[in-house]
Amino acid sequence: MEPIIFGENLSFSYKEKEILKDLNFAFKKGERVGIVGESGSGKSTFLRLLAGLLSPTEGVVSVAGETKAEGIIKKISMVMQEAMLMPLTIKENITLGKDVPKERINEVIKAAKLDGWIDSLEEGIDTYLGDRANEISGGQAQRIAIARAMLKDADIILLDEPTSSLDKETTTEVLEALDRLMEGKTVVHVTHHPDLLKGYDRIITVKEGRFYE
Amino acid sequence: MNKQVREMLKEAGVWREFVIMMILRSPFDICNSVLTANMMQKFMRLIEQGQRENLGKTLGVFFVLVVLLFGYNMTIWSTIAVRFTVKLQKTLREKMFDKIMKLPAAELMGSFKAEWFTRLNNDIDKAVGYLVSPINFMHMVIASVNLVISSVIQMILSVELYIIGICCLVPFFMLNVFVISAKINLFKKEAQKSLVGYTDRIDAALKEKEVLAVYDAKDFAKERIAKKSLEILNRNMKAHSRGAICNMFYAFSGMLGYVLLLYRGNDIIETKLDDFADLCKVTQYRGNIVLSFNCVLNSVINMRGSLVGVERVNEVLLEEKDDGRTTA
Repeated sequence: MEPIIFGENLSFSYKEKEILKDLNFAFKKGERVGIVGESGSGKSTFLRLLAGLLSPTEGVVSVAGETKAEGIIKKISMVMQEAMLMPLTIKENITLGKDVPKERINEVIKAAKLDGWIDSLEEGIDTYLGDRANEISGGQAQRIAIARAMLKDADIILLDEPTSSLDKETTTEVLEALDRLMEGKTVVHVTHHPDLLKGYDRIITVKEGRFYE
Repeated sequence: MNKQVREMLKEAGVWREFVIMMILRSPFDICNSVLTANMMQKFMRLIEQGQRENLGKTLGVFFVLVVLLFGYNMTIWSTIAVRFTVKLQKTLREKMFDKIMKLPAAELMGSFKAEWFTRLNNDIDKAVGYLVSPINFMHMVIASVNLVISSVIQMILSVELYIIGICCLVPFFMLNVFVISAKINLFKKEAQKSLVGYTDRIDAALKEKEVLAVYDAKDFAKERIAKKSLEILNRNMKAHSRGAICNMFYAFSGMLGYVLLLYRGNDIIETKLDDFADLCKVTQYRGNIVLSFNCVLNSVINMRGSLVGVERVNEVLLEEKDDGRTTA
């Protein structure tokens, strides 16, 4: 099967420091790939190269047939380490200004397990988060970020330690929501915790900018 | 003085310095007014009496007195004022910083970060501005002293002309206080809130720039930031418009009073006033009254805006004090 993501001789340097060195890889469609490694090993940089948020210093990265940043970024959804919400309503934080049918929004809210919390709010999905930022837990914020990703419905999901700042109980809830997001998608999941990658097709270790499988 | 301001000064431990500073500054404007009015009278009299050769000598005396008066203001008083301002700002910032450092981490995340950042900067600047910035509390006190003493002197010179002058000011005063400036404080408060929202959105957009890129929402964020910016602009414009209307009526009532004073003053020369030099002195004091009156009004308007800063600073400082009491 033709790989949906691949890299050839991919290198990335920042301020003359080589962070990723001459990487060659190929991920198949529907494959779940875990990336582990110590802090500063370059795993988050790798994910940003796959997302089109960074451009390689050398080599090529291809994501769903796109090699340019502006093309790549349209093909992926990403959930970051910490979901920083904007001072907008819950709905605006999920749709980010896109015109989306109400039914579709309700669908992703349910899938991200946000419905119980939203129903308990007086103004529901139109609750302004600016005044309630301190009342929102990390788990709720992260599930809003997951709902955003679900709404985009990209074939490729990139996860950058989405549960690292959460406690154990919240992690379980967020992982359930992530499972729904990842259904039938190609997933690249960067984490410090290999135990989160049970059932993944491949696990790659990044060490000093190189891949070890 | 407003209770909130008094509490803030006491909490900052600069109450005594502030009182001393005010006492030292208060006589300046009235001294300047008395000096100018008497010199004007003297110049007119010398010209009327044909003693033009003495004009230079009188001008020289005036120059020396003005140098002494303004010299005092620029050196001695300015040094005291700068020391007071630096001490007040330093104390408030330190206390506010201590408070922020004690806050739970959740309050320093997201939108609340902008709130605390605004309190540490804009609100403290506004609170300090209430006390020492031009056309705020200090000018209100100085102008009030000038207004009261100039009124007494003018009444001694001619009660009738004083009443004419005041009658021209009263409608302006009523219109200003009850119609025009009533909402200025509200607009400024709203503008301050919008500023918090604006900072908040920029802060969030910068932190979320990768998310905005991934979800193609940069334009959406820009539009939301622009909306807040426009909100600040609109609210400030409303406050400025009211200020401009106020100034228009001020100019009109000032000129009306001046014309009536000259018209009636000319009639009463030799019956109630000695000569045109006396009338000049009266108009000079009347000018001081109008200027002081306007200064008091504008100071009150600005103080209302600056008071928002004092209130917001006190919300933190006094809350800290309450906590201390409870613990004790």
